Parts: sequence; structure tokens; C-alpha cells
Amino acid sequence: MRFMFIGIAFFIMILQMTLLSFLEIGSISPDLLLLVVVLVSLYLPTSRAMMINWSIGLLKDLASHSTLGTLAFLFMFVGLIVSLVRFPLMLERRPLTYQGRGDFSPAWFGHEDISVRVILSGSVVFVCHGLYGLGLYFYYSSFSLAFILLRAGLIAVYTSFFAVFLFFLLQLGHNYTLMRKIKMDKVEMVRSRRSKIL
Amino acid sequence: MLGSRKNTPIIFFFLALTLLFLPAHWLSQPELLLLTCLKPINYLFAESVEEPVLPDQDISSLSPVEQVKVMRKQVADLKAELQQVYNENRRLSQQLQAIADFTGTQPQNFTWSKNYQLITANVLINHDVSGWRKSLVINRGSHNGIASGLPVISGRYLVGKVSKVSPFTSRIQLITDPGFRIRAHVVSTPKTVKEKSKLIQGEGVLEGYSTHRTALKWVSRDVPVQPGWLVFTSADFYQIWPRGLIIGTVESLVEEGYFYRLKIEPVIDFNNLSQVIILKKKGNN
Repeated sequence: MRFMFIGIAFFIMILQMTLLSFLEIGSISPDLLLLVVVLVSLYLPTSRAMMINWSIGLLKDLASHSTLGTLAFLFMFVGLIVSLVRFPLMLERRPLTYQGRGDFSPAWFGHEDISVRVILSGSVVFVCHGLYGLGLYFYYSSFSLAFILLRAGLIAVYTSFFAVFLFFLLQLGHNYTLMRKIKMDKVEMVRSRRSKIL
Repeated sequence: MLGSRKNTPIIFFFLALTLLFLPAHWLSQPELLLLTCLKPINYLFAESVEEPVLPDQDISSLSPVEQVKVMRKQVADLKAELQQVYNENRRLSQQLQAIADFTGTQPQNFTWSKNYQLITANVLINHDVSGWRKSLVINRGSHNGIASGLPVISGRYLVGKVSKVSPFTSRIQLITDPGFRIRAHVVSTPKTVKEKSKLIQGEGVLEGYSTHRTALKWVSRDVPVQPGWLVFTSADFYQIWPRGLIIGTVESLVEEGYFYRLKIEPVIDFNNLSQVIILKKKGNN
């Protein structure tokens, strides 16, 4: 499972290195890798999520100009925050997360409010980029604190648009599997009735 | 218990924290290894080089229809080869033009060939995924004589400097990166002959800004800077950076105490950069 997430992260990183430069608006581009971090932190056990998030961050560290370990630590840190807040955010009838199963399945994304997850993703992107910008501010002092907040906010908003699509697609996938399951159950029911009659 | 599932996050947290505070030169090797792994990308995007097809096949024994078929194929192959040669010629012409542009910026008594070795390189990745840092990866490394800190140009324009070097690839820190620092000067753009004889200059420190813009800090307010003035590199003490490379134009200025902080718009569009030149001072091996 962890290799699947790292594989997805690697694919997204290649995408971010090549195609996403075309989506850049005034030097602001979406951070899709952080969406993977949110997904991992929401739907996997904390210890495993931390490990995967750290690996994703390390991957990004290696592909960017930042010091090795910076983004790895940051991704792990924000992932840990998401893992900690998912339980308080969990509602009885409309859970934000569900950790009961041992593997990743589209059925996990059912009965959840997309807006909550999108806001959570945006907040994670804002915190992560804000902290990274703060690090640069203390190390190089090239720009002001207001600039860091504005930039982190814009990246968060831009990434949230992609989060909407991502979670909407996952919801569609869930609905499809759910409908298929209902259909299969019906067919199974008809078959059992027939066999009883015969 | 140390190995229990409950303690795993804490152990992992401290492991990650340890990695964060390890000395940078310990971590440079894995980074360089990944940079070397990027080398095959160059071959993916490179145009395929095929053996030249020479029309020396004896077709006299073939039927007229087959002769026509073979000749058509030969014409198509030759067309493809011609296109390849044309592309190569255009690429080399661009490199020559870039070198000529660079030498044109230098003083007449300056013989660049005596002072600098020019290493041309193709850009492999022109986008930094971090969102804050600005860098690109080129297909030349320490095997080609590249070392950390060397200036990188494109024609007469400054691109940045080499920051990380692996055997076959290198990472270039762009002038827009927040960690980039260099001495630079702003020069007035004369409109009349009288103004030409009285060029006004002001020195400052160029700093990246994480966006497509850079900033020239610590320019004295005695200099009457105006938007549109040009910004050039200043010669440094060790003469690693040549004087007179164009950085950009002044977009706006902000007063900061006794100094100006100029917002500079770089002339180069870094997203469309495909080739760069690395300047290596002769005698620095």
C-alpha cells in the first residue's frame, strides 16, 4: 500500500515538474503532492502515514533546490497534524475519515462532505507553505512576513481548486462502486429466490 | 517498548528531525545521485540520431515499379536527414549567437577566450517543484568541468549560478531564487547624446524574490533612479562574475531609509530557457 502512494506521489511529482509549469499563474502553482499527503494522513494509520509522508517530502526535497530533509520533516509534521485532527472532525453519521479497514478502497470516500476535506486540504497547504516560507525568511530574509502569508494563501487557494476535483472524482468512484454493489446484491437476491422456488 | 506500534511515530519524528540537522555536505551525495538519475531525461527529449542513408543501392535489377518505391523511400530518408542537419545547424547557430552576444557586452580590450572557458548546456528541467525556490537542471556536470559557484548566462543575459554539481548533471540557482546574492549596478538609459555622455550609475545587491521578479537592495538615494533603467552585473574581486551582463530593467522602486529597493523585471523568461552557457574562469580547475 505504501508503495502505491509513493508511486502516485512520484507520478504527481513528474507531472508537477513538467506539465504544471503551464498552469502557473504569476509564479503561483498548485501543490498536488500535498493533496497526496492529506489523503494519506486521512485514510491510513498514523505511523504508516508518517512514514509515507516523510518519503513523499524527501522525494520533493530531492527534486527541488531545498535542503535535504526540510520538506520531508514538514510533510511529516503537517501529515501528523491531519492525523490528529481527523478524529475530532469525525462525525457519527457523516464521518470525515474512516480507519477501520486495512487497505485503501474507494468505499472509504463515501458519505463525507467534500467541502470539509477541501478546506482541510487548503489549510494544510497554507500551513506547510507558510512554515517553509518562514524558514526562508529566517535564513535569507529576502521578503516580508506579509508576502509569505499572501503567497502561502494564494498557493492554498489554487491547490484547493484541484482538491475539489480530486475529492469529487473520488466521490464519483465511490458512488459507482456503491451502485454496482447494490446491483450485484439485487442480482444475488433474485438468484437465491429463484433457487429457493426451484 | 521501543519497537511497539505506539512509539513508531515518535521514533520516526526524531529520525526525521535528526536528518534535518545533519551537516549539508553529508546529505549532498544522495542529492547528487538523484541529479545523475535525471540524465536519461536528456536522451528522452533528444532528437534521434540515425545512421545516414546513402542512396547507393543498385536498383537496376529491380522492376520499374519497385525502383520507384525504393527511390521514394530514399527521398523520404534524405528529407528526414536534411531536417535533422537543419535542426542541428540552427541549434549550433543559436549557441554561436549567444557566445557572440556575450562577447559583445565585454570591453574591447577584454579577450574572453583568454579569461573564460564557455561550456554550453541543455536545460533538462526548467521548473522547481518547491514553489518557493527557483532553479533548473542542466545536462552538464563535474565530468564536463563544471564546479559550484560558476556564473550561468544566456547570450548577454545573466541566468544564475551553479549551486549543486553531480558527475553528469548540475542544478542552477536562478537570479530569482531567494538565496541568490550578487553585486549589481543600475544604469540610466540615455535618450539624448548629452545624456549619453553623463551616464548615472548606482551600486546595490541583487536578491531573488521567489517570484518572476528580483530586487536590487541598498541603492543609494543620491542616485535618481527611474523605472526603465537597466541593471547589469558588477565585476567582483576574484573576477568570477564578468561585468556588464544584463539582468533586467527597473520596474518600480521603494524608499527604505537612506536607500532604494528596486523591483527588477528580468529580461529572460526562465520557463522557455532551453540552452545556457556556463562561464568558467581559466586557471580555476
